Amino acid sequence: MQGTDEILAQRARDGSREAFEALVVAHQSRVYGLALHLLRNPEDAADAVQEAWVRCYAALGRYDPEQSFGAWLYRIVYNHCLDILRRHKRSPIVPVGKGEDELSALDTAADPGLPIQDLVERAEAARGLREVLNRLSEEHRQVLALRYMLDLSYAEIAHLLGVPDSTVTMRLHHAKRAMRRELQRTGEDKR
Amino acid sequence: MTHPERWPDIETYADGALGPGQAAQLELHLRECADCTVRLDSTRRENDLLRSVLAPPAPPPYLTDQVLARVYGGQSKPRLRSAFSAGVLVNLATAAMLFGLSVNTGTSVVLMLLVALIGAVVWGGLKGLLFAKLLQVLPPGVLARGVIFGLAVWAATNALLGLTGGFGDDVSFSPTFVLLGSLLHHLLYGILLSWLYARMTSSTDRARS
Repeated sequence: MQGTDEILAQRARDGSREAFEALVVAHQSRVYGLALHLLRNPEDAADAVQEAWVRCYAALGRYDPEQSFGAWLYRIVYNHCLDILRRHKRSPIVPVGKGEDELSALDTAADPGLPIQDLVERAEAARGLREVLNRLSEEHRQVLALRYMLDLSYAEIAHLLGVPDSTVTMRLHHAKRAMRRELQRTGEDKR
Repeated sequence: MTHPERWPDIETYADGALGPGQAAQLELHLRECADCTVRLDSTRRENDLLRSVLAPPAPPPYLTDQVLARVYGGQSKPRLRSAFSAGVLVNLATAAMLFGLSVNTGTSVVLMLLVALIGAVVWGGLKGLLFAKLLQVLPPGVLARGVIFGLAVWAATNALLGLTGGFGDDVSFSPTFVLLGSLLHHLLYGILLSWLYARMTSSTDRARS
């Protein structure tokens, strides 16, 4: 079944500028998030996003509307970022969520009806989790970001990474286990 | 009693990715096992927290415009509403200026105000829309666009309407003065319109992003 994005992509392929602009506006945040997550430098991420959209536009003729547009687009972004990383080896600059206000970082998930105590507890949990995520291996961070930042299904992640679905399942399980282990270690260190 | 061997399935189930057969089996087990139900709840809370921590950051406000400019060869889509509003506002400003000059000529103030307002909305709006339509052929850059558009409107106006001798019977100017004054007015008009249009479209983009 085709969703709004897939219909927009078909219209963009037929030459509708409005449809393409709607796709850019709808996906820009996640596309930028993925590029920033992989490249870890805001300027490089912005450049990569521009180039990825140009490639996406050029490839619209080959896009199959039966496929999720989001997954197809993120694969273009992901491959482009990998090309950049292969060309220039560089060290991480921006860790996950660094510099963001803890409470505002929870805006997307926070229930405004929650008591302030719960919000503070969740903010502290978010800060702890953010520190732990930065200590995970690249493979684990990547699979968690694809699942929980971009909201891709296991099949879409498998397609993007070029691995079987079962590998994604195991990788996510191991990533979460490593995350809990690190959280436990952090808790013990603080005691 | 805890069932660690079920934890991977519980995580996959919480993500909605467990196959239908396995999901049915797990649901049967969950009805009888309080520990695994607690585990499922904590996994869901953990996923919510991950989603909030990994929420995509806001992209720079200029990025969408840059993407569209690159994709469409340096030309982003003209915004007709912004262009119309910019045209009306600039015409209102110039009408107010001319109104100040005309007060001395003894023309009815109400009539002048009416003409200025209607002229601003109709004539200004039309010029704004024309500006938007010509964006495809105008060069990039606020100043260059404004100058060329101002020159074009000046040339078209003079060709269609001819140069008037003055603002009233008792106030007259030399043809050279009118020519230069009209040229200066249209150049300023074009630059102001181009600047206002750029400001209005960039604030719309910021609001959208």
